[in-house]
Amino acid sequence: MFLSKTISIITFMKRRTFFRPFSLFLFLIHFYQSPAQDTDVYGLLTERYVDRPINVHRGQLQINTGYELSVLNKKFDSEGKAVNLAKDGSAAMQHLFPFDVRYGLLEHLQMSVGINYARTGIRERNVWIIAYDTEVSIDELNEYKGLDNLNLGFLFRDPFDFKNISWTIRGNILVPLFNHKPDQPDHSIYTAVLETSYTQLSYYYRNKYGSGILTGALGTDLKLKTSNFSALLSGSFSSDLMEGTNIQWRSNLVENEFEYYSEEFNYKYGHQVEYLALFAYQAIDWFAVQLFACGIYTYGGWSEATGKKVGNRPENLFSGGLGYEILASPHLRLFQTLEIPFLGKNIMGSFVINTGISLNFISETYYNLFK
Amino acid sequence: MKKVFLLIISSFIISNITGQVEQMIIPSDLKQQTIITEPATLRKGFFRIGIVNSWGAVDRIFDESGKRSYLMGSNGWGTSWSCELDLQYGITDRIQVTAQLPYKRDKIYYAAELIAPGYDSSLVQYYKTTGNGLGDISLAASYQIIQENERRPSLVTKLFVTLPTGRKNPTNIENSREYDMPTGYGETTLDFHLQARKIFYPYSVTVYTAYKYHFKGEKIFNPGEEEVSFKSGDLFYIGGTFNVHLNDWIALGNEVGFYKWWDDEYYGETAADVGMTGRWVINYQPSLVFQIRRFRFFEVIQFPIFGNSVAADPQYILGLQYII
Amino acid sequence: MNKLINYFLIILSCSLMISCEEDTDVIDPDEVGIWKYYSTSNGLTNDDIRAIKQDRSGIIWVGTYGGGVCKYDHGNWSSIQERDGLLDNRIYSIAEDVNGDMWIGTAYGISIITDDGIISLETILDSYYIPLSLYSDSRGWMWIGTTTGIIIYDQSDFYPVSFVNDDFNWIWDITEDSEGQVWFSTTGGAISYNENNGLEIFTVDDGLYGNFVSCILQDSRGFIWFAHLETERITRWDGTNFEYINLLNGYNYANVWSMVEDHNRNIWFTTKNSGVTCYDGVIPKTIGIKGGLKDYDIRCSMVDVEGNLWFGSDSLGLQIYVPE
Repeated sequence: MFLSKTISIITFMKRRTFFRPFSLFLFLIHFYQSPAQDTDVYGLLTERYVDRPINVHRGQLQINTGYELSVLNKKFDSEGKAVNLAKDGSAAMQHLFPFDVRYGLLEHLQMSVGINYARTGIRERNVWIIAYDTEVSIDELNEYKGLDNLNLGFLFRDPFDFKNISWTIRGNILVPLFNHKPDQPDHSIYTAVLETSYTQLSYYYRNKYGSGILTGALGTDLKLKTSNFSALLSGSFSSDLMEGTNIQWRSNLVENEFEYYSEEFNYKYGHQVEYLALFAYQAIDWFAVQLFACGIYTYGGWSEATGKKVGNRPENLFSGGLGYEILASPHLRLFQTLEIPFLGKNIMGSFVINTGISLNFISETYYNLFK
Repeated sequence: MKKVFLLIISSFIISNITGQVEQMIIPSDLKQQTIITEPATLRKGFFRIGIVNSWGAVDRIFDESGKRSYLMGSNGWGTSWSCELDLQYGITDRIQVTAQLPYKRDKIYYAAELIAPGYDSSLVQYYKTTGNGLGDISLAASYQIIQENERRPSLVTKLFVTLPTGRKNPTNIENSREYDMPTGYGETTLDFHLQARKIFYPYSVTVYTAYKYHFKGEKIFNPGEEEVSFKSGDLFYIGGTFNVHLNDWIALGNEVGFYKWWDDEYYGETAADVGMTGRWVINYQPSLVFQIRRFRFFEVIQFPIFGNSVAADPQYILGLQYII
Repeated sequence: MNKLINYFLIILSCSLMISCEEDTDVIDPDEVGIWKYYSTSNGLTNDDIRAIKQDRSGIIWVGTYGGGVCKYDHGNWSSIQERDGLLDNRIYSIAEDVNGDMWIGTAYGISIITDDGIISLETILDSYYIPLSLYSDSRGWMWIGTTTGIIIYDQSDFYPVSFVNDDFNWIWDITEDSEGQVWFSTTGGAISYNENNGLEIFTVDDGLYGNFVSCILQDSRGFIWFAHLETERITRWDGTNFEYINLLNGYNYANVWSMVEDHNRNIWFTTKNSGVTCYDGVIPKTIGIKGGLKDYDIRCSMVDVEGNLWFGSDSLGLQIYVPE
């Protein structure tokens, strides 16, 4: 459950560039007006990556979507040592589909709404119990699937319009609109009795992806640029605004059939600090490459799942990566990033490939209204 | 686990279709034509060399009811990577020959904690099964029956022969979970392919169909056993691509394909007897082709959308080609 | 619009500041899932533990075999021994009656520890007895299990009950279920008592896995557990059907001394040879010395009000587990 929130917030934080060439979106290219009709709008839509402000322009509608594949093959233990999960046979893949829409209310004010859908199945190491006349093999799968919290945000950019520097303040609310409570598990058992008794037990937990807690976040960004380079420094702080309630499924094996019952418990995820440093180089007017480093630190939080209010262990993760953006057309941007975890504690580290597209439109009428 | 892994590896065969990735046009240089505008076969004397990398993980499959599910009953995880050298030469404007030399690197990981409460002890055993080495080499000859013009599409027929050059049997067997996996399939196949393409600049549309026939082979399926004869189920596939130039350097491709396998025959029994029946999959493959002069870089993600008894995870394919 | 946004950011900032206030009563995660140990080196008077009981004021009473009874009161240990007035230093059982007095079953009878001093019951109805087990039920009666049957004390008189079959006269443990039915664990089987049906005997013929019942427990789900010595399985009864559970402790005999249920509804079995086994409703998992215990022979157990598990071993004192 915690992993899902961690990943979802990273997804929200990073300045990703998407690449996802669905043929349907290609038709939208035809909605682009010829450059001769409105140079202002054309110029804004074809701005180079390094020149672009952190927020979208007045009247600009931006739709971002894509596909993020995370290979969960490493975790960092309490001492910061990397543990190879693939070696354990317990690595996993996460498939995440982000979607967000941003709109420029004013030149310095942007609103956004976004949501993610994700799915992952995390296996535990197989356990064999060899007793006197019985052998039991135990497998466990924890599946996380579903929609994340709805992310509503406002971003305010400084109105000074300095040439090479800009900064923003942003606030976000993550609203738990969708069911976050896990479905009833679907365990199975198979027993064969020969000379010894053999039992195959498979635990299958069906969790949801969302955190289930109303969360608030405040952040700031600072962007510096030169002719062909830009640097973006971002930081944010997020925290649960209230306690969450979830259920925990327990099971009994009665005459070789599973019986399930659930127990409610309260929890809080705690506070999270995120940071990002991104450096971009505009190689060609329509092609930019990025190098970034990012991290998260989570502390506080607790859970009453065991009946006691036990605190969560602090977690931190430091990753780095690179990416690129292609300005395929005034309306279509394609981008891709690759992220590698380097350091961490008490957290899963995943190798992430993020691919997506960004569709951009500017309403001339709205744009000229405030000109 | 191993059977499923074989299914997943077989899906890499499908990625050969990425050889038809779109190109970019600069009309002044025919060697810089893109996937949209280049002819269906290489021009006479043109030679193209490429490296194609494919990577995928063994995580989920489409079960017999068509649902994406995880492998239960055996916690294991694996990855598959292959790097293929792709050589194409135009003998004439209508005839092209192709050679594909793959190098494969497959890994399966499995770990089990053995607990013996009577001895108050536990032990974690790690197993890693790998398969590194040259795979099965494919040779192909393509003939452009109809050359494309403004009124008609091009029609190309291809014949692929895949030879069992890869290691077909497990080697270095230490136990049932630790050995070197085969890198080849141990069988010869013949793939007859028919493709039609029409350019509607800046778009192009391709439809194709093919039938792959598997000859009988003999190999060891599980470590410690003898070689047995088998025949893999033949494969039929049909599909189409829709590609578009975004600008002079970038083309986007979209491909949808349907693949259907007939039942395998192992140990004299058909796959129906051993539970593997009715394999099929529908894939969607978006691609990005990025071309500067004679260099072509392409990236494809192959998404299995629907299927039965096949792998359900996407594959990433990256390729680099240069035309001489 | 700007003002609205400003208000939104101010409200969000205030909410975040409020949410940053530290939560109280949060347990450090490093303080759970750990073991604590007490022996003669740090508070106990003897390392052979036979009984553990927590009274209504939270004091933990530990009965030892040779060192009298030790009291653990908020981190401090003290003891009451023969020199202090106990009938004997060999303790078999402990119970708290309705008045808050502690009944200590010793090798030479019962010593009742009251606020005013120690009352000795060396004989009952002019007979000597060995109080193997003690229990105060919901009626306020004290049940005394001996080697010669049951003695009932209803706050005014003592009433002995003995059986023709001497196996039923060895009362190892006494407990009460949610319906007020009192259960007795005996060498010959299990005996229940209620006002309506009187005494009822359960043996192998009725469905028990073995006749030697060492202890009985009703869990929060309503099952009644019968633990046995020298049998392969233990018995679980839902009121209608008997089911036999294998504790998977690696031995051909389960050899259970005692049972408790923790706050997470796990059942803990203490055994003669293999430490303790935790049953979560599906799979039993055995914990031995490598899991944190000091000894494999655990004679008694208790769950305190905070949910900690107290295990008394045959020769190595107390082991206390703070569950995760």
